[in-house]
Amino acid sequence: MNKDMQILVVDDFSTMRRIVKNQLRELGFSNMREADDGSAALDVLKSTHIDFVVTDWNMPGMAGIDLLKAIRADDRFKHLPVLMVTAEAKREQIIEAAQSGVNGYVVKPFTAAALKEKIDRIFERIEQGS
Amino acid sequence: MTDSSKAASGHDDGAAQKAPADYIEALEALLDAARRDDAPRFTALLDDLAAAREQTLFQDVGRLTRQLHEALTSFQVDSRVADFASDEFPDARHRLDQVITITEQSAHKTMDLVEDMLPRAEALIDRATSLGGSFDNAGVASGSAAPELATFVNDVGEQVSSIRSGLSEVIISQNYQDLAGQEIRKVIRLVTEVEETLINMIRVAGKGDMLTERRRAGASATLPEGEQRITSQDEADELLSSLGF
Repeated sequence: MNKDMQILVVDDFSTMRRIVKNQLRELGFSNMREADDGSAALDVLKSTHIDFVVTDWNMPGMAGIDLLKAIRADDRFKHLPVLMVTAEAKREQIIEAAQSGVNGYVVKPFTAAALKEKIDRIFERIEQGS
Repeated sequence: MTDSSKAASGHDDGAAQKAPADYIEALEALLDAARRDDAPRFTALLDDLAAAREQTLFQDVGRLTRQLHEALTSFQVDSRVADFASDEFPDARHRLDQVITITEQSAHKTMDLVEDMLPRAEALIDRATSLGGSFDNAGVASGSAAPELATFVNDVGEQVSSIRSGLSEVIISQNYQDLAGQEIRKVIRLVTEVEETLINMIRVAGKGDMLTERRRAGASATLPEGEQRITSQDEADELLSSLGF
């Protein structure tokens, strides 16, 4: 796993963005960008090279699920790995995220170990696939 | 008038639903017109029957409208209710926003402190590790305090490692602010909806002026001109009077 990759962290709560960034730093990543909703995230994606997106679901403005769909619908970004980190844990929502092409789904509140495991698995699959 | 008009005129006396038997006379007249192939009479009788049926529906609508009208006019808008709508609900929303802000600031303050301590802990772990290594290399026989010092350095390494993972957990546990904040936002949305509903009820009840002049309890029921809600009240009154209320 390339530790220099650029990671975009999307959450409307600055607290949660900071926690996720902190955990990513613990895992050895240091290049991180932030956005507070889906449309702000799309702006970052269009202007900066991003390798991996970690997004919340429930945000005022553009929700994480719509961001995921927009990413999958855009040829420039459709292969981008997306990890959803969310308090939304209803069955239908997880199914919707899976059908929309999410790469991992972490339910809040999460542990450092759970986050690490999902991220590891995402990049294992990508490396196997490539 | 035709025979059938007798059957259709039964609606005037109140809300009673017609029994099937009430239609027999009208139906026989209709059948009679059909047998005689009297088209104008047949059509007229059929129209009367349809009108009789509609009248029952109008009576039901009228009854409901009257109940709604009575409920609205008896809706007691005292200054307390107007206070809720104009002051206390916006105030409640503001307070809840404040809770989100306070907890957010507090969570960041905690993380500031922890992020300041984490590298210190890491530096201590690194030094303890390298010092431990040099003890191993040099042996422990170079002084009487040396064995104790070696143990201490080892302990420092282990203890600070525990402190370090504890600090990391402290950061993760700040997620309460996000989770609680999301719940508070749901309550804010609910408060906003209740507030809007209450304001609409006050307006529909014709007490809209109380929202701006709250203290005038029992103020006149007139609304400012151009107030949109007045149209539906007028329409309700119009319908009521057309139904004889």
